[in-house]
Amino acid sequence: MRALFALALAGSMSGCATSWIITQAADGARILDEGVREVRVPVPGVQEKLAVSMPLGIEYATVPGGTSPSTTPLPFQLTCRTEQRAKDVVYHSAFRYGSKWKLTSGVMFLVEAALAAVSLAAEGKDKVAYQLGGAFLAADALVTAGLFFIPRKEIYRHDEATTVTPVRSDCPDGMSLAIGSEKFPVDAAGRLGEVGDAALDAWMSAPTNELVLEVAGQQRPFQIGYGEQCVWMREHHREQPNRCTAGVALRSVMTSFDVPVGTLSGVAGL
Amino acid sequence: MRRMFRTALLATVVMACGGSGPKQPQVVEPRLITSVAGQQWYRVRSTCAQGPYEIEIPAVDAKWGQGVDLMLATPRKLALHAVMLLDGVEVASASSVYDASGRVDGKPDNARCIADVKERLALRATGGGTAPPGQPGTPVQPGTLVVPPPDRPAPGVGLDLETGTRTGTALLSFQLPELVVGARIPKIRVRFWSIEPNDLLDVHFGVIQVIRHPNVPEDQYVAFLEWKAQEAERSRLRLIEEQRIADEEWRRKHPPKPQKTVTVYVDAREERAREAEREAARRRREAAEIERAARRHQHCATHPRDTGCWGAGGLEVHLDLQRRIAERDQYCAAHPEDARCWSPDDWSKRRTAWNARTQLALAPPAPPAGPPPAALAEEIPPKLSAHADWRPGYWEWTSGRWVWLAGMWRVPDADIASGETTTAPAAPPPVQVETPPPPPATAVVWVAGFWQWNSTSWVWIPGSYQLRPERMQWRAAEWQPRGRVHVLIPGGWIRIGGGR
Repeated sequence: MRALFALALAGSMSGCATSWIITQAADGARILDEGVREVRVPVPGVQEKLAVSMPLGIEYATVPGGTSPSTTPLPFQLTCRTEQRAKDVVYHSAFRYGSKWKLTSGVMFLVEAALAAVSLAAEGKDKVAYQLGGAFLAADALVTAGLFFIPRKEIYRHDEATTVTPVRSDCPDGMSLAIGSEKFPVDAAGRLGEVGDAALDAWMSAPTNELVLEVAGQQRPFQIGYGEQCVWMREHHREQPNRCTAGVALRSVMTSFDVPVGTLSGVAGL
Repeated sequence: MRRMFRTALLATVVMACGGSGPKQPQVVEPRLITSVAGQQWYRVRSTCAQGPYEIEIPAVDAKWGQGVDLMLATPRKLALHAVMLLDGVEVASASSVYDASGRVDGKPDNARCIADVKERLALRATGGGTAPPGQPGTPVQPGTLVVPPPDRPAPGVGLDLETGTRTGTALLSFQLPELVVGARIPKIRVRFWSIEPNDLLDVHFGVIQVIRHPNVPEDQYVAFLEWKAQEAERSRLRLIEEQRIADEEWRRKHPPKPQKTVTVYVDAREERAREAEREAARRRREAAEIERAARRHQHCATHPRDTGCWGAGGLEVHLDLQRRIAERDQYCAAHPEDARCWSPDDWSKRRTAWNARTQLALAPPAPPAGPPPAALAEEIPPKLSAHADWRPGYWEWTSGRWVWLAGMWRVPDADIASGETTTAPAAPPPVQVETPPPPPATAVVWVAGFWQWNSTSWVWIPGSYQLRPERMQWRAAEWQPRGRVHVLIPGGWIRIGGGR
């Protein structure tokens, strides 16, 4: 039992060589790079996207430093996120197994060798456990000694990488929510106003047409089914309409818009 | 010995009780005291109103000063703004929520007088309440409970003077300065209003006028003031003299010390030499640095594979990276809308603009600069039931402007249940055929018009769109014969599945 524990301990304290092997296996050798120079060249073809989320449940204010959740409900508001998605070509130039690597592996060899010697020389009733640990460290030190002599490499390569840039989190100008055939403007904070809130609440209890969000000349519906209505009614009115059955439903619904670049990220005067 | 002690004790007791010696005459120091010159109390004619109201106070020729207090006697919380004007110039103002005890926190108790959110949605849906200040509203769609505002001010809006006095809390006080003898007596006016209508049932406003006068005969008070002025002058001169003597004494004790002259001999030639040496050393270091850089440059130019000069990959990779940087700069110059190309300054400007929008949206709405326009007159339709409550129209401050919300009858459910609605001696005429306009929203339903009996004749109350409350459906108004009369069952929302 103790032997198994010592082995597990040695495994969890993986030595320098073991770490190197894991890094290679996980394709993470880039973390060993030194003297890195990187240039990102944008690839044309940017997508600008607005994602709008509508909470169906009531959200509560967080009390700074408090342990219990606040009982003050936050006013209803949509959440808007505008982001740009694009691709970059990343040109990466670096050294691998350079001077820092030599220094690190050299020091680790000495440390592991010293620990292995102490463990192998240990006596007593836990001798087997110590010897197992010592053997592991000795083996790791030997491989580390080999790694010390890996010749320095010069790396220069390029990869294509997807870039997502969060642009803004306010709701853009001109956004409105059509509840039935009536449009309610959405302010920058995502609020509909007192009357819009009442109309939305009435719609949730007896929906007719779709809830349609409009921005930049585009219209997108919020997909709200029975389950979502049930969540709303439960949260806002503590009612369980007859049709509602116990089950999992979303606590928020989302819709998104793809707009021409600069439509939502532009600012007048810039 | 004992006899002497007894005599002394008796004398002490008599003196302590004030039994001996003549009484000192009580000297009254002349001063100004205040007394109430008059008070008027007013009641607002409408029980739901927002003003503005104005009371002009007949100023008195009070030589020694006067004050005015605006008083309030209320059984509930009111939100009020009040200003006091002296010859048209604002001299005092107050703005708060008040109850019988004075200023309080919280909101006014005016639920009876303001439209709730569903009423507002109904008004919005019918197009009502869009009147600019002082103008007649855009004609609203005919509504059962919505009365379009007429284009004339209400004649009955105002204050009624009441008899008698009351006690209340002071909203606003102002002390008028002493008047110059012979000067014109200024006009004092008190103006008060509220942004939302207040519930003014059993509420009284009072104006208390206070004058100041001496507590002794006037000539005696004037003589006292003159003596006091002379005394103050003497005191001032005495202080100046004492200060002068003290200054002279201090100067005598602390004569000015003779100034010492310190002569510092500096060898200018030696200092110049040291400075030149420092300058030369600095130039030598600079020259060595330039030479070292030139040598390195020369070395790097002739050693394109030297990774110490050019990094990994040597000169070839270095030049390629430079080309990529130029490529990126070229792309960004052509695509300023791409967020990847924004500089920290660009980001900062954009974030400032977007945060400002959010902050503006979250900021509490700016309060109006002054009182609302005078209330518009409304033609109240015949009452729908015995206990129906008329919620008068009022000006609502919304989105930086005053908007007129028309009045409406609120019929209690109990009146319908107990049949205490309007009765008519005969059946109404046939129902008029109405063509509803397109619905303004899906959440609204068309509520058909109906005939109402106004005690003398039939009045057609046209139909309107109204917001449908959740899980409710509209039951149309109808007249039911009961014995020799017909009883109106007003339209109302009933819960789907039964019950109101």
